[in-house]
Amino acid sequence: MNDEYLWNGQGTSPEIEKLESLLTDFRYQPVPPPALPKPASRWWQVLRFAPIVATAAAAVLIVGWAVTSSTKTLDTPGPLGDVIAYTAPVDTRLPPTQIGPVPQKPMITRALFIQRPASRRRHGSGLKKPPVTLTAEEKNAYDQVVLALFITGTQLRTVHDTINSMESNDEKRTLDQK
Amino acid sequence: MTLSGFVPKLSATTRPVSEDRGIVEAVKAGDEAAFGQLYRKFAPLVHGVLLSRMPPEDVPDLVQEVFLAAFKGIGSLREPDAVGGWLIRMARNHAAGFYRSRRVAEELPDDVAGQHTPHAEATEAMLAIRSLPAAYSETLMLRLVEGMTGDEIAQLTGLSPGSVRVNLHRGMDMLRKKLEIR
Repeated sequence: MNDEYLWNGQGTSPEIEKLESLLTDFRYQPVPPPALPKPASRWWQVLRFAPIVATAAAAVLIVGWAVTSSTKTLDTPGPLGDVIAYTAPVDTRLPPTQIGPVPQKPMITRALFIQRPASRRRHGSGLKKPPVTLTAEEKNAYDQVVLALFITGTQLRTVHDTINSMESNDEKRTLDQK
Repeated sequence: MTLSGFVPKLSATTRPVSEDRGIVEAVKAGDEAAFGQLYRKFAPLVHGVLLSRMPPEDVPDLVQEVFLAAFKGIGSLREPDAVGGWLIRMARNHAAGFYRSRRVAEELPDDVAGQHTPHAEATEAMLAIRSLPAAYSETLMLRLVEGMTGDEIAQLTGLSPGSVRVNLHRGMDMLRKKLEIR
């Protein structure tokens, strides 16, 4: 065997030359490169993020609704004040004459709220809020957040009213049928 | 006394590392012309590697698949100068996937075995090369089928010329024994 021929094809080696000629049919035949996938259109790139944007918007709406509703609840204190409002559970298995509070852990029926700091209470503390100065940018952002919360709250209120009216209509119909 | 004695001699096989790097960086940036350049340079290498692992009639399609996958995944190539070795690994993976998905059972056809037509001898030689250990069969495919020299094989694969030379000689010895037995 000719080492030089095996390495770089120089010289002669009948054995390797015969193998090369036999295998030449299997050699790579140049063909054009494959067609490359086209990059996604700009619209598709924008729409790709639509679910994420929608989820984020929903999260903002939910948080906004929660904030507005909690503020409202805190403004109208329950029977035990605006810190914790709960009612004792009633054991309905007992006859009516024996109905009374069960000495167990109180069941919380309303939302549990953390007490507001004294500086933020409306009544009683007498402390004044420190003046807050906002930059124009912060003011603009604040206004936008308030507007978004207002719109969201209005829409939720509308839905709530609609559901209530539907329920009351259903009740009326049931009573009328009876 | 001159400093030339202390300067390490560059071997004849030292390749310009910036060439592949430039092509790869351009392909990463989405340059189709650079991709064509990459394809023309490395397609015979990928073809040879695939040929050492799968039936010849399926190789051209898989070469295209390998390069498509390479285009999509080239962002993950950290060392652009090692693009040859990276493409070889990709070709090996595609060949393995080919067998996993199709469960190919390839045997020497009855009408070929024992015949002495050029086609039968070629098929026999091809199967004999493919039966060698991967390092030898790949190197021999690149040398005997794709017609590359030892230096070219070393440049494209990233192997040292010494390793290529050893693979060629040992592979050739094993191939000779196999063909003599048959």
